[in-house]
Amino acid sequence: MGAGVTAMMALQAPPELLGFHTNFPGTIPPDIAKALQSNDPPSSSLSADERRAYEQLLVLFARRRAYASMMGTRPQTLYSLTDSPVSLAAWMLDHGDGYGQPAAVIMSAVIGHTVNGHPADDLTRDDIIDNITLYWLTNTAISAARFYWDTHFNLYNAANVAIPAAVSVFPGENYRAPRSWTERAYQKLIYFHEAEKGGHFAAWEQPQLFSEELRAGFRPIRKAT
Amino acid sequence: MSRSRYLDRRTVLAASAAAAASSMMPAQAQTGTTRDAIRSFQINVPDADLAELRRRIKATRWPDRETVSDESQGVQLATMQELASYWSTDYDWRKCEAKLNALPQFVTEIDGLDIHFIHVRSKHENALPLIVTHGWPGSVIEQLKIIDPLTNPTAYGASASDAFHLVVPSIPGYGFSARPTTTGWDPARIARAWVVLMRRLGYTRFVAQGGDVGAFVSHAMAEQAPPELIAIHVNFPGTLPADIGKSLVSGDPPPATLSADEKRAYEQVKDFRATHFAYALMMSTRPQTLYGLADSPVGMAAWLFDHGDGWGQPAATMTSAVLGRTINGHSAGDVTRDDVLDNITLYWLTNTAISAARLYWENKGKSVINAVNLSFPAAVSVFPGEIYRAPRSWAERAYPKLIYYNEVDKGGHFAAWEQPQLFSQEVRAGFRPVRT
Repeated sequence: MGAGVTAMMALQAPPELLGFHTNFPGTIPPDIAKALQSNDPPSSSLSADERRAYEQLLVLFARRRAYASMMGTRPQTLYSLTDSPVSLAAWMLDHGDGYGQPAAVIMSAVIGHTVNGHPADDLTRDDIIDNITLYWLTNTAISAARFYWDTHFNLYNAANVAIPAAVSVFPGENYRAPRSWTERAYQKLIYFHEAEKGGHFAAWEQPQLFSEELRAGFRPIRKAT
Repeated sequence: MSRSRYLDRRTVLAASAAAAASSMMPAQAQTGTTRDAIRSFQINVPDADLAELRRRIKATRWPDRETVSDESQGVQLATMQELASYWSTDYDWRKCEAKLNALPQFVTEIDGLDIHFIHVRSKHENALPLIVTHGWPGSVIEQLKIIDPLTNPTAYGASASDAFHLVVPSIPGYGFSARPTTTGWDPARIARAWVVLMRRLGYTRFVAQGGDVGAFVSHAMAEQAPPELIAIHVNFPGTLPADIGKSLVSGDPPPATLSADEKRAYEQVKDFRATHFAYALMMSTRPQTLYGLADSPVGMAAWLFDHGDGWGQPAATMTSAVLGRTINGHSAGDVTRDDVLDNITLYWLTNTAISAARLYWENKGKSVINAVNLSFPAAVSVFPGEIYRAPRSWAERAYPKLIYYNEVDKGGHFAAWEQPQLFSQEVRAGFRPVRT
């Protein structure tokens, strides 16, 4: 969702905003978005990278986005998220990534051993529970869900952003954005890099790698000013 | 908590004797092996369970209210708090329990699971045996008010020739039926179990009825076409033509040739799938994640309550019943606040909210709205407040052996619950063509 806010800032393009970085780029071209919506099989004209992304997106939209549909349409109905700690924890844990649902990294952290070949790395069980407990103590599960209801912006589709954009693709993100799609989606792509490790919760899972990406991503803007 | 906790031995024996004395048991009931035995069933929920429910409701931790002034973000805080207030104080489950226990209830094991059902025989011996399947978020409680009209028609100004022997089962994972512990209990398997049940009860010919998930099961029975099954009736027909369904999914405009009725149905389905369908997506993909449905009474109640109909979400009838006033011009019909809570409380006491959700997962997200192409005698009743008003043109294509089609002027998604008299009339009329 942070990518959505950042993308909106970029589209609003206030003069003070020099550029932005995202690890969740919206890159789906309009014709691909339509094919995905119809559940069409991948077109034979797609490159290998594009095909992989397309197949990830098919699975994502068919099986892994119900929580987002629920929050996007009926957030107020989710009374159990503020009344039952376990219910809140399960709902939050069940966010998937490119490797599965729940995100394997998160489960590895919670359970204490590697799940599906994805170790927790820097993430700990306490980290996970810190986050869940914050939602509980501040009673913000439903207010957070309301953000989905209020958001009419599609995070996955290309938005034709004009200001300088830096993109980092982490291998375990919900879908691995191909360079070809990314270059079409961002008029001024100043940085594109596929990191070697990390998933949807990139900063949390790989803080060092993530920080390197931010430094590298914004370096061109520093040079320009 | 196992269902057998609710069996009170004394009451069971008394009920058996009473049932036998009043000829409520069918003449040819099989009671052969212990496995196939049809056991009388009575409910007796421990006081502690009811006290615990009240305690949990009173301890509810509430979110902020919605940021809109209507139901567009979900069930409104004021509605839930009003429901919770009554539910935790003056609401009395024992009244529902007594109502159910006054009916002939039974349990029998089929395909490895205990199936709970109500079985009421008509005093008219030539009555047509009928099995009625409830839906989600419903239960046998939805059917309570149609039992007498269907089995005892002359008391309602209807004809003895339209009488039914009635079987009202609880779907596996719902109510007092057992909860499956393995996968595979999809509508087709439920349908096979229902045929076994009717045979075990000694019926050599019967008909089936259902709405919502109950329509899925009835369709499955028709597809299996056991020789004893004569016809089905549905109040939630599957009629959306495949090409129109495709245009809905792809976001293309509908064909320009749609009639006014068809266009209205198209818009209703489009609207439903866009903003009123997320609960079904969640249950058909991640039912196990819904821990709140087992841990939070208010959380569970809101989830069940938020099923929409053709007039809004939550169904206006339900909100009307709970708040005691007309909502958007829609009254509660025959549904009362106690009815709504009886159904919700049943889910809570039997801890069946997640097992019930799993049926959607088993059904792989299929939609009951899509055209069935079912070549089997079928009767269709269209209630105006159903999620979509199925046009006759579409019904005729989907059900090539359509024996009855009628649009009534009252009632919504929970047709039997809201309009039991009208519903009973429809069932009588729907099956009249197949009575010999």
